[in-house]
Amino acid sequence: MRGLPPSLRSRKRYIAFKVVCEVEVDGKMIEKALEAKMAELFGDIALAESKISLEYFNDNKGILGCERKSFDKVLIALTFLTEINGFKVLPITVGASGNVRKCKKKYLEVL
Amino acid sequence: MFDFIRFTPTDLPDLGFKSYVIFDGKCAIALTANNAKELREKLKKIKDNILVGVVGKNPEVCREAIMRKKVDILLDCIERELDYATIKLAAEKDVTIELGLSKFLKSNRSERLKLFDALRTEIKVINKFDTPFVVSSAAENMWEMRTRKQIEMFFSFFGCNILKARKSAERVVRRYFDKNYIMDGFEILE
Repeated sequence: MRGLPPSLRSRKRYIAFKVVCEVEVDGKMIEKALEAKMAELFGDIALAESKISLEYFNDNKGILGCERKSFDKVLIALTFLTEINGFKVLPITVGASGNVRKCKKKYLEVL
Repeated sequence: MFDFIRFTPTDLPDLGFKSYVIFDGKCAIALTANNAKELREKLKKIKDNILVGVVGKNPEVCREAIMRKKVDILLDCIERELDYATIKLAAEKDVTIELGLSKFLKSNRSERLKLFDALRTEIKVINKFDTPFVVSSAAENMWEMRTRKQIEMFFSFFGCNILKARKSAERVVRRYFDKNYIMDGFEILE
């Protein structure tokens, strides 16, 4: 809904992560796989509530946005990501922050 | 926090663990047995000063492992079934129970549902008797490993007390790998 006062707006969390994979993967593939895993583990309602969005992805490192309420579920779904397009992956969460800029500066620049 | 793994890793990224306990037979050994008799025979051959873990593939082996003095930790696998009495006994005998993440990653959807249900019950009983337990990746290869935060988040979602798990892991490791450690509450400071 547009025009919500700040107190009613949903809070977001941004998760910095990197992916170790046998091949080069792109962001869309990860987003799709993550959404599928989230729906498999917690159902479509939890997936809709979590509002997963891939904010940034480059060189197997990325930032994932989600609702603060669903942070633990998204992290578990990311943990359960074992393969993408038949290739094995090792998702590694680096850290989480309240905004993209800080998340990028704090976690992705040091990698 | 320590991670308990079944292979010797090479070129691992930083996963946030203090160190790894590798069940490769050098400093820690993982025993598998089909029945209680086989387990007893295998335990007889083991020398002291090595961390002993038992992979309990059936309830009989789990129960026997917990009653043996040499056994330090009951390792996790897909087939492991812990019952109420075994967890209660583990608390009395001070045997640590491992809760591993890898079995959830390896299993398919229908298997995973059963494993989630079993995990919830196990955690309830563990909390009831204050049984020592550790959470780990229980990885058999690099792809089954996860960061400390991911593992802790997963198990805390199911109601695990992570601080207790960390303490238990440290206790098990210090018993064998810290020269200054004597027993709980006693250690050489200088």
